[in-house]
Amino acid sequence: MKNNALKSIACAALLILPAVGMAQSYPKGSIDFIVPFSAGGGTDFASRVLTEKLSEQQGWNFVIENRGGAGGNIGLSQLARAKNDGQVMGMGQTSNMAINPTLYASIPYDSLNDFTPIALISSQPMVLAVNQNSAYEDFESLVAAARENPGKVSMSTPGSGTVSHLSMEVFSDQADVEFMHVPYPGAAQAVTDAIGGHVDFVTASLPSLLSHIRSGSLKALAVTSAERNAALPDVPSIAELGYEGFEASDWKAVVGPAGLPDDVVATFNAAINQALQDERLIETIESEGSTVEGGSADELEAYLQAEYERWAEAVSTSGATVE
Amino acid sequence: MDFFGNLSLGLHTALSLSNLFYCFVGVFLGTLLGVIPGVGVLAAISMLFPITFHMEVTSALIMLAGIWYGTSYGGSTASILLNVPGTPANAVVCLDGYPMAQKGRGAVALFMTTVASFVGGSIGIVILTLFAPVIAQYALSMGPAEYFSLMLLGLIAATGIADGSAVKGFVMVMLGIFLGSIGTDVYTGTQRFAFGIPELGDGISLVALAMGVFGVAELIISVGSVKANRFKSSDLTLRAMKPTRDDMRRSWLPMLRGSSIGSFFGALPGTGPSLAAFIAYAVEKRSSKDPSRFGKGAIEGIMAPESANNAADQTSFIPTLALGIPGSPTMALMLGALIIHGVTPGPALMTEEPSLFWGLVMSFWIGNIMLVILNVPLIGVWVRLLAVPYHLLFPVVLMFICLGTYSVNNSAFDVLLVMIFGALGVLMRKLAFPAAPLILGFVLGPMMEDNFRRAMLLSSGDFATFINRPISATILSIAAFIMLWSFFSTLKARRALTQG
Repeated sequence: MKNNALKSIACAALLILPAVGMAQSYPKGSIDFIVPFSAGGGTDFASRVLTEKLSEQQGWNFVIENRGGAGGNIGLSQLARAKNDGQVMGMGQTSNMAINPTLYASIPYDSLNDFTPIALISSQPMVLAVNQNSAYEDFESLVAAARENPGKVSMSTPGSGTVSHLSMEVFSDQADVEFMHVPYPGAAQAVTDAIGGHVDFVTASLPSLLSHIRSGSLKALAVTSAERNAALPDVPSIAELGYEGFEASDWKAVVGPAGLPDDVVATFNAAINQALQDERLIETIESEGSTVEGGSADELEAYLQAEYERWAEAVSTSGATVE
Repeated sequence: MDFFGNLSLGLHTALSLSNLFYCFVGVFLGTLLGVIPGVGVLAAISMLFPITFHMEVTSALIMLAGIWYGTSYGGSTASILLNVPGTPANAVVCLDGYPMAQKGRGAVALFMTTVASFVGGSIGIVILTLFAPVIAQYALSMGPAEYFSLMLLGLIAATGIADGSAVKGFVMVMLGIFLGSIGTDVYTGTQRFAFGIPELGDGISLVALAMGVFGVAELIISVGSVKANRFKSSDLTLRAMKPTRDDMRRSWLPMLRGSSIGSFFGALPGTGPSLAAFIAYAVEKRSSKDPSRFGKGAIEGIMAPESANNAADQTSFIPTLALGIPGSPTMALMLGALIIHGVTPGPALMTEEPSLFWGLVMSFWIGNIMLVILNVPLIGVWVRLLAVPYHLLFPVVLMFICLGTYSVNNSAFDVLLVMIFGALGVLMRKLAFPAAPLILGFVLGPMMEDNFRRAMLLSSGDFATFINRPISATILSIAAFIMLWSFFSTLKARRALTQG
């Protein structure tokens, strides 16, 4: 009796399996998804939200591998060396795809040639914010103070060579002002000292500041994106304050190892774009201050190229290097 | 809502069946991971973090927090029995815990550290419950200058943490500072002593260093000095756990001092349980009438650091919950769990989400009580571990050290480092160089440098910033007082010696 039942289950399974195999030539088993930062950070968050939605909609299985270190370079070099059959993907972002190649004297991969671009996922602006008791009422008064006393207005950032630091270098260059740059090892400490009033203002990505802006302990003066951000509708963008064309954002994009088959790229890109249409996913990503992007793989390739060149120039203007 | 209303709301939340369950899961996992050398709390929480996506937010935090403070309970077990620390925060307990075990008092030590953990945890919770917003604001007023002065005070207070030659202790502090300076310079991005190895660009992991010089070194040294029977069956009875009246008398003050030191360092963002434990040990030794007892199984030497690291575990929730500022990577993960569930951490948390805030705080009490109930019966089991022959036990311990070190960053390089530091530890042991000052220098050195340079940058190079700021000036005068005091007491001791 028991044997019969087992046999019929086995037969049924055998009948179903080939059908599944035919319908889905990709992916073969679970996909390793490399997150080049530790669990709990912004890149990790975006990766998990995205892969969760992909699993739900496509029935794919993901194994998230957090491989942090050296500003994301270690995780991405692992991705660059992975087999290009589409079973290993990863999340690249501004720092390790566009900034670090110029910033670091040597880097274990070539960000333009060692990866296959799949799709742009999201972007987030940097925000300039002051302590709640600060004398600076708005962005103009902060810039005016820096112009009057060059190098006296202090600015904390999450580190030397980060998107936050470099975007302010680009701004300083364009606006011809000079801030006193006080780098911190990471956003948390940079924000803490701004709340404590030990520095005049902080420049960091929106997600790391949003809760403090909402609670009132920090006051946002401007965002670095071209447009205002949905999470901070009252905060002007630097561009609209008279610095035309100024734009800096921290983006995230799914990439695979170089030379991925075209059908894998097409399948994965389509799946991502479908996931990015999901209202709950959009809501989750926007709630932390990011904007959902999407688009074709070719668009991403062109974007990566443009960003690479733009940040390379910013790095050389700032004089920052990591040897 | 009034204070007692909040407490009862919190209790109501924490005592719900599902929250009790998650609290138990947390503290149980925490204890287990603490006992296993090398597997740290950060690794454990990052592994469990994704699960919390699908949990109710209060339950998720209760569980993660349980792991966080649970590891400190379990962490001292291996320190005492094997001289291999469970986590870096328990490394200093090796110094007196292991000698106690060698004298056949391992069960007493395990029992007393459980008591110390509970007392430290409880004091930390009381401070968290009553003063969180006030302390959080105070912590914010500590800028780079204050941090530098505080680290200097810590370093001065901690000189003499080790036995034997003061020169050797000094050399070890310097070596620690050197090892701490490896990595990327925050200010210029220059790689220091990284030799082109990308993994070294992020600096050396504290887990690899502590596990190497304490744990792996001990394992290597024990090879060849195998003692057949390291325990007697009488060590396992309930009576063996019972502390003597002398133990009790000696434990009260160290527990209170340790708890206050721990509560203080826990509430400061950037410092934490490991530093608190080392400083508490140093202060205990310094304030003892007979410092020569330390390192030979003095009960004060286990009570102070164990109450300190547990108190720090609890008060480190102060900046996290009251301000939304994470003081350590682990706390950043806890904040991440809040944000993913759409809860905004910050000063408004207490008023907007009272059931979450107070439920979590009340779960700390429950968790600590669970930990005592869990740990006391386990003492017999742990002590029995010593009956396992070396040739079976130590390979397993070594494997866990490797697994644990690997899991921190998923990095094979860190496993290599732990072995290199194991070899260094053996060399140090053979030449009688103490390991504790090495760890202290490693932790304090980079923080001192970082904050010194930041303070200098902000004051445009004016050294007066350290004495013009009142808090910094106060800390520096305490440091000066300790230096003078130890100078005169050494002088006095020398005079007594020559006259005697």
